[in-house]
Amino acid sequence: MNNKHERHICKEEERLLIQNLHMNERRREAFSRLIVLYQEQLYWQIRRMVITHDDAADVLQNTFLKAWQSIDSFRGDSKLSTWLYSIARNESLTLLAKRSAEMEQCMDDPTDYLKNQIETDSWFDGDEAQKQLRLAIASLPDKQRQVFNLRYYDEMPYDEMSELLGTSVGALKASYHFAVEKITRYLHNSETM
Amino acid sequence: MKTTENSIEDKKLNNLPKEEGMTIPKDFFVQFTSQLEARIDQYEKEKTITLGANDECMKRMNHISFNKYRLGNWGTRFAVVAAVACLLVVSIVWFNFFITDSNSSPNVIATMDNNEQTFTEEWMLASVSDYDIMEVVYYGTE
Repeated sequence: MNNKHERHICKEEERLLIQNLHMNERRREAFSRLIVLYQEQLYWQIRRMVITHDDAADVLQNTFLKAWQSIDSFRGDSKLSTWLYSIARNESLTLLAKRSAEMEQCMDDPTDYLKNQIETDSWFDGDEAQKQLRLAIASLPDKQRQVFNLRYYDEMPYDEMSELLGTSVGALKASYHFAVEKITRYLHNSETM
Repeated sequence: MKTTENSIEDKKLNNLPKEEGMTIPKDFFVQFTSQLEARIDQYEKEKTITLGANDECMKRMNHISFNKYRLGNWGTRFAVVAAVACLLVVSIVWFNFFITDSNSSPNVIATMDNNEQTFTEEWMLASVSDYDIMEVVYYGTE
């Protein structure tokens, strides 16, 4: 990932880290290193999905805790960042589903929940254009929103995204294309209103 | 976007901000790390307690030889099969006895009822003279 928040980790360091994570006596120390390396990158990915800082902090903590609990099941077939992102994505979607269910009685459209979160996010100091873009992204379906965020903000290559989301490169390109279309239309409509 | 994979989309999004405007509290990650470490410690502590309790429970179960009665034991399997077979045999015997009994008994009772109700006087005569019952019936209806 070319994320601005990513701390680069070379293959050799990752291999050593995975090796230490599987050794009982070194596991805790290695996991602390893992937290330092990936917390910031994961935080922003989660934050884009759940919108508010408080929810992002909760999901991030649950993500690392789940990773700690299931460290034995990680065999190193994929990159650590991919594995952690998968956990974070599931945790984020679980939280969004829970929150949407809670708000379902007072809101007709599930995406209204995200829009409401953007409007009330106290940890946002962007301008109107940034806010409108966030609202446009929030109006996308879950999958398209994830693809757009990974591509637009993280500039993740499609093949890496394919591994991460378990979707073909062609389908991801189509998702991104539709997401861009919808965002463009949304912004155009909001300008003319 | 830096890549050329999505040139059309790139053109559409050219005027859009790449910065997101989202902020976080100062020293959030420092606090987050210490909170997470504490939560992992707590988790490990609880796991140890839970595992300890489970071990104790297993010891008690072994003490009362609970494992002897598991179905994985060949002796237990044989005992279960034998018990089912015995139950089956007893059921068949009892069922046969019941069917036979229920088939014969009502007829006997009905015959006696008919004799008593219809041929009271004739039956008395027949019993005195040791006539066959069919003959008495024939005589009575004449």
